[in-house]
Amino acid sequence: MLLNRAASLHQVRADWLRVQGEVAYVRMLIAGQSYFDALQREQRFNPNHDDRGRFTFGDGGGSGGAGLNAVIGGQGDDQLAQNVPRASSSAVRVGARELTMTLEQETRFIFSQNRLDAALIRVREVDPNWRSSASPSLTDPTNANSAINSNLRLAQEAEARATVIERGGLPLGFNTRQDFEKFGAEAMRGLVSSGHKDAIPFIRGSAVTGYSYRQGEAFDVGRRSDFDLAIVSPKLFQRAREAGIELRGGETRTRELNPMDMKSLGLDEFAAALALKSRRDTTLMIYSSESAIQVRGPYLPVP
Amino acid sequence: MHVLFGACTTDIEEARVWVAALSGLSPDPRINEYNGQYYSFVDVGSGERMKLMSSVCNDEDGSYPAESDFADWKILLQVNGTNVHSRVLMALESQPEKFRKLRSS
Repeated sequence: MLLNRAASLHQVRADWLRVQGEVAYVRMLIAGQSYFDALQREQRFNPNHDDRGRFTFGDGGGSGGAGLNAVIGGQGDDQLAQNVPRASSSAVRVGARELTMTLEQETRFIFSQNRLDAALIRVREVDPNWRSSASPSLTDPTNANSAINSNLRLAQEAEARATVIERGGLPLGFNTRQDFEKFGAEAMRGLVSSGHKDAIPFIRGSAVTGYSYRQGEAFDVGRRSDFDLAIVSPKLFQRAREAGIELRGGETRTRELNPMDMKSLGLDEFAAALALKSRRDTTLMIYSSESAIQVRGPYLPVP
Repeated sequence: MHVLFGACTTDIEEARVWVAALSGLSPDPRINEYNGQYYSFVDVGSGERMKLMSSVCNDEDGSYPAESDFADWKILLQVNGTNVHSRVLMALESQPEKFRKLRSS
């Protein structure tokens, strides 16, 4: 009797688990179908999309743009996905290349492409001339994973830049414009007291772009980011040249100043005071002119 | 006073553990546009600031040594705002198998 009751309870529990599993499976199918339906409806502008707004695939076939039915075997068909014969990988056109991707990579690629599309729309609404600072080699992927990573990096860069612009040009790392102005006043005071009255400070780098493509990191994500201070002063630049400090950028700027460079230019106390006030290190670089900063990407004058 | 040490390892994480143990200070992970990921150690009481970093910087023109005179060292430790009586400085100097003093000014 007791044994029969236990067996019956076990049966009920097993049935309940099976029902839960089937409900979860159906919900997954519905969510997947909604996603692919949305993909087909969405307006595209990417050159890799066909005229129906889907990604273009090579002749090898593929399922990514054809909807979930192609993967699981037709609408309303409750056949399990693993029973449906399908190619384990397919060719996906990315720029001028055709890359082989597994279904999982293809899905990640679609997600990354959607994020990039959204980020580009967002940044170009606020900065129509925005361009990535990435070198062409980094945006010409040669395999599936590099294509996905390239999309994600570009998306991050565009999102970060849009964030900075949407903050009204207030660089990241400053909570308010007053904080930025205090930093500016400290910088100007420090430069004047160091004997560099002609020096004009600008802020550039990831505090302004929101993202460092070189480091592959957004500003202050995971680690506290340094400020990148560009100081324009022909006199200081000449002193740096005479002190034997390495010049870069076609001799239009110095390297990042190290402590000895700062000391020889009388900027060591200035850098220490800025770090203390802003609670983050500040990279110093001397430029011969403002146009030498301009060619390196977005920058802002320090108020 | 500024002192530069070279770390006797090519692994910044290993050097981070050494500095933290010798100084009793917590590493603060930072990132720099040119120098990449590094660690900052600050002694708020004495005002000493240490920077444990790679010896290589990068920009659009390519890579270059952060300290031209010590380009052979992979990991550098800058100690800024220190003095000859500093407990941290003496601890670092007492471990030449871990940190080699390269420059003092």
